[in-house]
Amino acid sequence: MASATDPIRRLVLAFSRLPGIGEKTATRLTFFVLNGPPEVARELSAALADVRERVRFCSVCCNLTEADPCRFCADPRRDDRLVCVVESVPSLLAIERTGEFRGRYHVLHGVISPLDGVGPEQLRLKELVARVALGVDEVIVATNPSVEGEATALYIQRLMRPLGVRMTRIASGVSVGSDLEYADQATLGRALSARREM
Amino acid sequence: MFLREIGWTGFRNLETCAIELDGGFNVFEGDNGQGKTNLLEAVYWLATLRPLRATRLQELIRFGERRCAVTGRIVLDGLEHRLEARIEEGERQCLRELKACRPAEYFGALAVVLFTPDDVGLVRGPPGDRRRYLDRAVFTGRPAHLADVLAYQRALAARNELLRTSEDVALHASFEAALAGPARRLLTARATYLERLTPFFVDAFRGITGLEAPPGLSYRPSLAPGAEDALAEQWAAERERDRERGFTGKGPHADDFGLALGERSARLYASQGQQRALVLALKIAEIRLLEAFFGLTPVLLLDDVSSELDAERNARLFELLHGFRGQVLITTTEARHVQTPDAAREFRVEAGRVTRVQASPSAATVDVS
Ligand SMILES: Nc1ncnc2c1ncn2[C@@H]1O[C@H](COP(=O)(O)OP(=O)(O)O)[C@@H](O)[C@H]1O
Ligand SMILES: [Mg+2]
Ligand SMILES: [Zn+2]
Repeated sequence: MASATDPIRRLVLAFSRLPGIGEKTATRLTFFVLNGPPEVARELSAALADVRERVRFCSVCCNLTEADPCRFCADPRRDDRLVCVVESVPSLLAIERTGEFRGRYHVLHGVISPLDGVGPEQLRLKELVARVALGVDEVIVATNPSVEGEATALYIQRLMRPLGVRMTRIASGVSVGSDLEYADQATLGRALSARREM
Repeated sequence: MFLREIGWTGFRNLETCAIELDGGFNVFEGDNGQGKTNLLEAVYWLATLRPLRATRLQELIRFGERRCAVTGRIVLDGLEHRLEARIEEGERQCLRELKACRPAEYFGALAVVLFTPDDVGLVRGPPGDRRRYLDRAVFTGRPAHLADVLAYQRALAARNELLRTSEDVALHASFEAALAGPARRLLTARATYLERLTPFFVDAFRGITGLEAPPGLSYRPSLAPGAEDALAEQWAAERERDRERGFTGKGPHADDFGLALGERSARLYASQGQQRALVLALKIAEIRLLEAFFGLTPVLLLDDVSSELDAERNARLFELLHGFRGQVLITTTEARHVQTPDAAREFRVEAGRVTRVQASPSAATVDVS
């Protein structure tokens, strides 16, 4: 009889809490970990433990990183006068992959979403204001073209107004409702270079 | 464009099966409650990824089942396309040419125009019915309209939530501006559609009724028309009143369109017969517009229509249908009520089972010739 702490059921349950994974996939993964080469399980559990232990927020841009400042903030060849605001680390990585952008980043870790109970105070906005006040020429807002992404961009624009910084928004080459994460590199690259004044 | 084959599994009360359709007339006969409307809903779902009557996707799934799927082979410009629309784990999924895709990539192979007995209520019914009708009609020729409708609904819900929970003026203004984008696109698409529809509508109405007063169509916006900024400003001005109400009072979600006969409002003055003629003219105009502007000949779905029309208008309808070049799917309780061409393919619908009624030998000979 399986008890509540049955290790197999526990792992199935743990996997099935991950996004995009249903019970069937969770069961398959569990039995792979159980029956596959032992180093798979060892590496997985070590990596899981590490990721929460060693990863923290970059004190400059709020990116997730082991070293502080993160590699984008530490790179001396990048342009300090240009800051690209993204909603998540996957968005940052998607923009980085285009190879079009050589400025700095700022990660909000979400967008304002009244329907999900997320207000401005839950995002890394204070950090952004403090950074821009120290001297930045242009802020590019690259939140997703969703309703919440648009509203967040407009909110940031209002926040920045007293600072007199140039504000731009990436062009809407990315279709409405889609995530930057899934946009192809060419489209995203074009959206960046065709950004417009806000 | 026509549906060569349609199949379903786990959809409403329909038993799993696939049927081959005729490129012209197809008649589905069966008593009430057997699944005729469900069958048309399956076609509608395949074409639009939206239920016809249900408010929740879950209602489409057969009682006791967990998933459903409708598949179709569509012939368009001589090429066969394959569509599949499913509900899996409560989520809508669509496949084109057997590959999962986004809705934006899915639409385009199949367009439908639906006639149901409920349509007669359009003239006198609540504004919500007319808005839904209008958005569905716009969508048929402009699939991107769906994305705008969904974005608008989401932005509207977000603003309504803010009205209850936040005093942050900058935050309100940001969401009002975000609401203005999809609102503007919705308003433009609706207005353009009605403007283009009007000449076809006037023509169709004259065709049905002869010499009656010319009918009119007009959009009735609740916000003064304008650019995005102008819309956002009006919401800002309404903010206090909306906060008291607890929801957004004005916007495309509160608009209406009016039908008129001459100078008079059809809602107030049209007779029962005139109302039916107006609705019929709207539908015919919808088809003509699709043909004229988009080169699209939609598949017509007629649900139990003859039961709602008097003999004369019924005859008119079928006269018009006979002149229609595309595919038609008709449901009826009695095959003899519908005046279909001899070559029509007949099916019986009984307790969710759909079977082909084999043509009599003499009819088969005619078929071959
Ligand atoms: N999700 C569902 N699962 C099983 N049966 C359903 C479902 N939804 C509706 N039905 C049944 O379908 C029947 C109605 O079918 P319908 O197509 O409206 O009939 P009609 O032939 O009169 O148009 C009813 O018996 C109803 O119970
Ligand atoms: Mg019915
Ligand atoms: Zn950093």
